[in-house]
Amino acid sequence: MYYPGPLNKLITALGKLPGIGPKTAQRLAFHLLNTSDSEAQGLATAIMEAREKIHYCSICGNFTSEDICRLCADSNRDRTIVCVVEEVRDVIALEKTNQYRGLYHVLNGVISPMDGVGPDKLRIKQLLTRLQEGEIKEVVLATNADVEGEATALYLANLLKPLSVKVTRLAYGLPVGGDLEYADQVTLARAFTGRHIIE
Amino acid sequence: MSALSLEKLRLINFRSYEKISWSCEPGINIIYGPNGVGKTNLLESIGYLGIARSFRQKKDQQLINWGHHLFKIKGNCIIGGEPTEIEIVYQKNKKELTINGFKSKFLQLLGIIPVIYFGPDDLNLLKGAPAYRRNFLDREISILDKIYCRNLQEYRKILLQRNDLLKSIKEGQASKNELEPWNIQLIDIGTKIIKKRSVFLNEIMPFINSLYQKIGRNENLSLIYKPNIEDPNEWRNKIAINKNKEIQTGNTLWGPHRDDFSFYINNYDARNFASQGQQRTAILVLKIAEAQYFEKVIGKMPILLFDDVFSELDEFRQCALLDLLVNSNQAFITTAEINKLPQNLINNATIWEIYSGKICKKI
Repeated sequence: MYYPGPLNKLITALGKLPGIGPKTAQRLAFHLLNTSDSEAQGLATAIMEAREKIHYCSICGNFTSEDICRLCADSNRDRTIVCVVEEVRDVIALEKTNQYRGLYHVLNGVISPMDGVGPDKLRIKQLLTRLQEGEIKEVVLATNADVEGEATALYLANLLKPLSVKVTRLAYGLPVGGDLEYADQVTLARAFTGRHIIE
Repeated sequence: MSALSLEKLRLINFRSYEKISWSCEPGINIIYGPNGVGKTNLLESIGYLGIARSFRQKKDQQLINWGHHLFKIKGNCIIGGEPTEIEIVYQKNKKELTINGFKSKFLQLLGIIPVIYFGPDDLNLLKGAPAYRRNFLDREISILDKIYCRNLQEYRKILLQRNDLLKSIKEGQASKNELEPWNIQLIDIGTKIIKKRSVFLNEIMPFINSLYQKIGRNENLSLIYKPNIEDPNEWRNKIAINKNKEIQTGNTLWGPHRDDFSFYINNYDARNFASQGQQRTAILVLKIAEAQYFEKVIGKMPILLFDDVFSELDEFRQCALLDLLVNSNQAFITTAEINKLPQNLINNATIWEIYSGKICKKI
């Protein structure tokens, strides 16, 4: 080994983070060693504090430091519509649009038999419980447009069919602001299939 | 129509080539040298620029020159008068593509440099297993149609997921009602693939017919598509009725992954009833028809790669191939014995010799 034990341990730990290769892990470790005590301590505390205080919202599965996240607690939001997403980061992405004013439901994954993930491993039961309360009138399926996301959407659509809620799926389409000629053919073809009448 | 030709090819650690830079010529390029000197490797690298895959069905890792950890292929082309540079680098199980200096997705590469490869193994198209013919269909249609290529990727993923699910159901770790979302997608995407395969074979038929009339001496050649299943409703029924059978085998039993097509000469299955010569002619005709069809659909005559095939053909068929070559923008032909090639081919070509990893022009 090139490094003394504790440094080696730090590099290995950093290397386990997503998107961090051996070289970056080494650079980060060296940076942490050279930084001030308070800064390094701050990072360590931030990690511990986040892990301690952040947990899943008991209703929607979003991250929160309270029992219920600020979106579920917000009385100004439309409680008749719920948007189903795969991950918490999808909630953030949709929130940044400032368009959607309804509630969310995070599945915490996507159906993928290859990875051993079936419907029972997702937060589907919790969704059904929410729907039984009767306030929700529309469920928007906003899983990804890949085969796993599509399978999850199809599974949910079938499951929700007997309930008296409207089930919708996000449209596939052109990136906004993009020129038609620069869109890749596959996106363009999908957008074409999903075209609609101008009213 | 826009003319297409490769001007310069640079290889680093690709197969037998550690480093070469080759300025080839438009028109016909004949490459000769003894066996094992790297003639096919050269054609393989040109083919790789077309579809970012080896037409010899080899894994990318196997294409790296022994003892190295990456390979690089860089091609400078003129397409309709415009210079285009394509570079593909493979290392650490990852491929990267740049087109004119911009990082690009591999889907964008398809159709830029269409290539047609014809080599000794292609007799397998007629004699070999169905997988060989499916590979052929998938490769050729993907070059013409990016959406087909995407659908194919999706279909393969659906198959993997669905087969895993069937196995889990068998082991009692999943329930049967989880199959439905995969069934819907399997049939939806699968039907799209089947339709496009059928259209491709139908549209290439007129080219095959007129060519075979000329070369095949008034016989009739047809390619008959044999889809494993065609009608989505029938497919849906089969899946419903045979649910337990699929679960028992842990395999998806119906779909275009089990398709095939056959060559018929005068209504007889060419695999069983045709002579060696007829079989060779059928493959030759298919390749030429493909080139003509590509030209019609994408408006570019593909680059032709003929690997050691001239010596196998009689004079009559050599002439047919020559006709095509004269009409092409660029062709690369390999041979171990240059004196076995027709003289009028040699007269119209640039001759290159390969020895000890170098390519030299013969004057």
